[in-house]
Amino acid sequence: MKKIKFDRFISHLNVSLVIFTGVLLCAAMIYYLHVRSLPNPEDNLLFIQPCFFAIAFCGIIIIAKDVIKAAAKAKADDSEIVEKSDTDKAGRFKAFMDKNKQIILMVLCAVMLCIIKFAGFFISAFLFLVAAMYLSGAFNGKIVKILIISFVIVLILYLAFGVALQVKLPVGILGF
Amino acid sequence: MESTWTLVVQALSAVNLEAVLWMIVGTAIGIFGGFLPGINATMVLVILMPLTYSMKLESALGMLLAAYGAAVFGGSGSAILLNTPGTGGSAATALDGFALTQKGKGNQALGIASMSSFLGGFFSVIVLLFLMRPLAAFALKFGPPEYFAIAIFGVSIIASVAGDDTFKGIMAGLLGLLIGTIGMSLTGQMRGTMGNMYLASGVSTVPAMMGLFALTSAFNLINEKSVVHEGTQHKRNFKEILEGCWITFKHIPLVIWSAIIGTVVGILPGAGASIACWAAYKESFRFTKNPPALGTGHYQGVVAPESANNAAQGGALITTFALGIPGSGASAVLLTALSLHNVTTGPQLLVQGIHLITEPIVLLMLSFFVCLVLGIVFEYAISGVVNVPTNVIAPIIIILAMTGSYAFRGALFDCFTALFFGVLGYIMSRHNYSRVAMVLGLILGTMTEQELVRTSIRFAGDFSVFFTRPISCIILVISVVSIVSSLVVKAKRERRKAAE
Repeated sequence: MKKIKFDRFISHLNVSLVIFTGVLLCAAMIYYLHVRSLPNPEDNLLFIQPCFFAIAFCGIIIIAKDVIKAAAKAKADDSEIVEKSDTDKAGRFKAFMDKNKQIILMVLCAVMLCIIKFAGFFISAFLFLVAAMYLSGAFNGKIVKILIISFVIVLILYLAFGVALQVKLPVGILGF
Repeated sequence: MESTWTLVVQALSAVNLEAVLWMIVGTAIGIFGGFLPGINATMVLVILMPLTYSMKLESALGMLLAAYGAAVFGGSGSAILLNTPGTGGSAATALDGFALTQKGKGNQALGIASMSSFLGGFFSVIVLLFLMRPLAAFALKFGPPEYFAIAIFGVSIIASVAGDDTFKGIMAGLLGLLIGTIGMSLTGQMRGTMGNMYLASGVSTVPAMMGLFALTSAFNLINEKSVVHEGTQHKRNFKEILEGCWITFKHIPLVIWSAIIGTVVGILPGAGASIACWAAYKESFRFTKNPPALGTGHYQGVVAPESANNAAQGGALITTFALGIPGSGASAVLLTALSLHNVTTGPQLLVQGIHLITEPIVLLMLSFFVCLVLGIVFEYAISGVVNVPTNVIAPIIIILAMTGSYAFRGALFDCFTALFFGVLGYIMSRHNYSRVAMVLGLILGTMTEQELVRTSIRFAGDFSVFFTRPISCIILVISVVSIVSSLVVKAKRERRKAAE
């Protein structure tokens, strides 16, 4: 019985919000403790200490608000908890990725930043654009169209930054 | 000290072709960006900023200011034609504007929007020119306690930009302040740099803003199908647009009254165009014979918000330039762009370097004319372009943001910073944490802390100076009032929502 109550409570809790707020709080605390351990704490902490306490106050209230809300909802709610079926894992993964295309962008972006040193800015940017558009299904996956659009964009970037404005962008082992 | 008129005349004669060309480019990009929903004035500025790194100051600032004004202007186009406000400032326009489109009077509405934006914006820039210097001259008497009070005033803005959830907004702002203190402290300690030399001078605001504004929007956009509502049709007609321009002049008292409201709301930090448009829209009720019919397609319902939202932009610049504190995301970007050109804003700038600022402001005035012409042509031509799929736009935004982060000081580290803040900003936006609050905190963090420590050193730890010195006391009181009033307004709004 207790277990069911707890499950109901969890199902109403905005778990990711609580975790995210918790992570923010921890990060602020680590920074605060770090500054405290440095020499001259009275000057260094003058601003940081009140700031940290205010953050802690807000964070705790945000978490507490959500917990109270979830508890109230769980009390009012006596429906059965529907177990999510675990069948067809691959299908669920695909559905999840369709709804969360930003993950593709974030990963591709990180990859691009890592290869910039070898491939240079323009090649990495071109590869990023092609991969990002292809994987997110732009132009119904017509690769020729994607290649052309990406090339045009990189060309514009090259003309605008490299030629017209003389902004230095990273060059790779190929020299551009 | 020369009179403001002489300064304007001098600036007008100093305007060169290069600056004008960049101003036109900025206007065009601003209108286009503002027109696309999901891309607001702040994002247009962030994306344009890297272009300005190697420009001359007046061209750079002229272009950014022009884009800033044009973006709000462009937002009205999509609000009227597609019922999708391109920026927060044109949300009120969508009510009557789109109703007019449905009645088949969309072209007139576009004309009215163009003309009222022009008049409202022009009015506020004139106020800006004349009010900026007296405010700055007054601010010159400031010492560390006063600057701290101003910084706190800036921090108090966070409460009003906090968004729906006040605690989350304040927490985001405070975290921003804390991140702003990373780097070498006044007493020479390395705080939170983890031995990274790029962090010694603090977390740079440019890549942080690229991440929080541009990358986050790209991550949010990619999951939408298209930037606009589908299936809205519009037949273009040039003559009707011009007819709309003419209609505006029949409502001139409303235009002026809305422009005054817009300017005043704009001066208040944190308020800005998105509040000004609603305030003016409410006022337009007084200027119609049949108030309840508003929202069903009345010209007044377009005139008032359009005049006010552009006026608010000029108003916001007064605080930005004279006090050096950002009142909104967009003016935060402007301040950063200025500091990239080694210009420190604040009272000093307006007294000693007034010439640096007058020319861009005159360019902004000129840009309203360009905006009027380009806007009419653009809105005539645009209808088809709005259906660019998001999975093409989002990758392009990311590449532009990365280019900007890198080009800022040639460090790949900044690109990683941008990505970090992009992911952080995405999670924040998912959970209703305000990103603008964090950026404001980040910008104000260094200033707040340094002035506090300076006061502590100079007055030997005696913090009663904040209240015994009249100016700092007044500013602190105003800050407290501003925090309390924005919280009260928010609570009232929530109660009204709950009642409905």
